[in-house]
Amino acid sequence: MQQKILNLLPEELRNMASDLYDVILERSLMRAYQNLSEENKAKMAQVFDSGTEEEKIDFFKNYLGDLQKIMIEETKKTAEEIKK
Amino acid sequence: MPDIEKIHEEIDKNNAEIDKYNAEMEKKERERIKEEYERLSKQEKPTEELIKEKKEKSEEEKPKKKEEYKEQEGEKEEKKPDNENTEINKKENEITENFYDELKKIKSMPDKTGGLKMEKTEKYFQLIESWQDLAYLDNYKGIKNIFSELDKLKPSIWFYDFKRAQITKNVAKSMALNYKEWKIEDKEKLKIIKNFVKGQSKDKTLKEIAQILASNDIPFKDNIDVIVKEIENPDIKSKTIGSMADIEKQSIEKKKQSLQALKEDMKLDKLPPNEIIIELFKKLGVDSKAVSEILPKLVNTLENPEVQKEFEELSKTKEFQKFRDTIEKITKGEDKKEIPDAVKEAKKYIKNEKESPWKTAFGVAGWSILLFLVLFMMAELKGVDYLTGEAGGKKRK
Repeated sequence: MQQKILNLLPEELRNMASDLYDVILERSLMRAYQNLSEENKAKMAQVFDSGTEEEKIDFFKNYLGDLQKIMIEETKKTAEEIKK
Repeated sequence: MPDIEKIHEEIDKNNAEIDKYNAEMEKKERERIKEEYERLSKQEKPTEELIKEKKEKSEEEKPKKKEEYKEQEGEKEEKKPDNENTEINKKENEITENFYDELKKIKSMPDKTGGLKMEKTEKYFQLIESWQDLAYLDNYKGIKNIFSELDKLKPSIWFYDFKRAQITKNVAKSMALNYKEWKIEDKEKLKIIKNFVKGQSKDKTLKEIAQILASNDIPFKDNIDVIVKEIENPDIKSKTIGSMADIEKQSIEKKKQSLQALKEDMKLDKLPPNEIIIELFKKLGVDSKAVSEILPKLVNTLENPEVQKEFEELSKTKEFQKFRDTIEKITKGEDKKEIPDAVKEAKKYIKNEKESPWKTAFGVAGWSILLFLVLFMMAELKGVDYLTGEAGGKKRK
């Protein structure tokens, strides 16, 4: 669904933006994951492997609350990397 | 003769051979398309005949049904309306009336402030989306009425132009999807489609319409060819004709799957609230006012085939290659890292928030980040300046 905004771009740019978004999302989630305790890391693995929709949303809210802030920071960092 | 001259001579010779080969291939391709066009033009009966056949068949079946109905329902038969006003017609009229009632309600909604305008616009969009599959019942007059109302409303919403363009395309596609159910003459249907598609990203939409009609087994002659003739860009036109043969070869199941996938793709995002996007853009250090000015221009201009061509040229420049290499370096660097399964799954979840991208709040962030990346890339490649006619002029914000 989110990808529809990318339809604005020509194909090559669209693929590049999509790849960059993947990088930002992965880096952000990695940072948030590393901040978790070992116990919560195991819980995250269980929830996203076999948990219900509700459990997943709850996990985001309760344990990855600062993810949005991290995503913004990682976006800025990635943009700087490209500008260098 | 020095070596370098020999090499140049060799290159010139090779280039001449390549040019000759390309010219031959182009000639062959043109001939193939011409043949394909002629072949398609000669085949199959026009849809009017098919509908006539279908009507005759159903007329034959009608008495049987009536008798069965009489046997089963006894006295109820007397209450059944005559042929002029069947139950189906009644229901169809009822459905259309309901849509018009809804339209009337939305029209009466207040729209003095920006927030109220946004709410009203969203309601109009929702009505179009729920009406489009049955809008053939009134020949799309109601939907055209909504578009006129939207023109009068002039809402100032970030993604208004983007969403309106998508919705307009979807209505055009619905016309093709419901072509068989739409009970007016083919000529009339085609006239309505042609008039509706005017002024948008016309050629691309017409291509998609032709492909939907082909997947629905609508004959090329006197039907699809009328749409294809309207395509101005020769490249898009030849690709459309070429794709007709591919669709024709597909199995019924494959055609059904393609049409189903197309319907899925027609589901649109709810408009993201301006306030949240502005807030996130502030956090990203972006002047949201400048973005709100650029965005509508960008959406409109990028739909233009001429601009798309310019962008193809842009991708051949050294500046672009450098940009692509930098991004590749970043993404490939990430590939080497070991990612825990928990992170992979969580990422998949955020990316697939299909029903409501605003469910976890990361969906909104993701949306804003994607939009930021689109604008950032355009700015880096000077695309924004070019598209908005500000190249060499105002400072980029």
